[in-house]
Amino acid sequence: MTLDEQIFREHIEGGPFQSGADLGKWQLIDIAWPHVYIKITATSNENWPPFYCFQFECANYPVAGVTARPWDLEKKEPLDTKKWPGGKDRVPKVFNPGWNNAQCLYLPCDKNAITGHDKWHTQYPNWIWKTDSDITLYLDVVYGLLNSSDYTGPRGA
Amino acid sequence: MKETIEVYLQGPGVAITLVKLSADGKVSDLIEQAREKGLKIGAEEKPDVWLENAEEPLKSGSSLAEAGIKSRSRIHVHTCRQIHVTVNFNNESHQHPFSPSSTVGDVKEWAAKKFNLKEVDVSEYVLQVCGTTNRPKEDTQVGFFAEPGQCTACFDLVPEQRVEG
Repeated sequence: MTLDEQIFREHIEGGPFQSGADLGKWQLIDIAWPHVYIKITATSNENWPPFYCFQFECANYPVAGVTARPWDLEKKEPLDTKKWPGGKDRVPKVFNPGWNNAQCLYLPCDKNAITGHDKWHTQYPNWIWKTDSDITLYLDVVYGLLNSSDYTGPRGA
Repeated sequence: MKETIEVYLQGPGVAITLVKLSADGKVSDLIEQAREKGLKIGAEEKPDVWLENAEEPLKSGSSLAEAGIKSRSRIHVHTCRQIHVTVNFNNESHQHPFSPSSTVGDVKEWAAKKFNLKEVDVSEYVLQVCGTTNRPKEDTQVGFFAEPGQCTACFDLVPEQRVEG
């Protein structure tokens, strides 16, 4: 097992990840390194799904950080953008399928999104991935968005 | 093989961590575990052990079972009996004493009522440690922010971030 995967597995056994899992915020589905699949709970009703699954790419974790995109667990492929989370303001800014070919979320803690956004380091310091960060930094941000009053269900709903 | 249980442990200097201990151990074992994890108190000090949201600390001589500590219980170790929490919002401040094992989520819920935030707006605000950019997760217990001997914590209620640019 490579060191990055070893460290990741230690982190998901640790307090921050396990606490969030026990509180029902997220659930590890699978590790197929360097890809990791995690469900994050969302506000739901009869028309909205209870969670979204995300594919994380975690090569060189934690030093390099992670990148993520919504994932279709059943079809084992990127989630159709019509089913991406929608919202009034904050949510569609992050879940923007028109940006970067829907390859990742528009978030300061995303290792692909931060490229070319130097100002984000000072604008959003608590959302910046550091070498001692763990996956719950990213998970907590997404959980907050999917359980906010800004979220309005899947885009196509 | 001796049965063990895992519990979540927090304290000043100890961010949320999952620790293993013997199922037939005592409450005082948690103090030793917290010290090993870097609890910021003097060697001569005798902290208390709290179940999450409890109003009174546990008896240190009790067994884990007698104290009601089970698998994945959430525990706090601190010398402060109360944390005097201040929350600032819109040029107003309110204070309230919380048990060290109360969470940031509990403080936010109290603050939302105190500042008359509409229910629909609550999720658009977060607590930020005063004078910092630290926006702790809601399962962090407030004792983590209180220096032993000072027993205070301060938060600003601020709008959630909106990614631009």
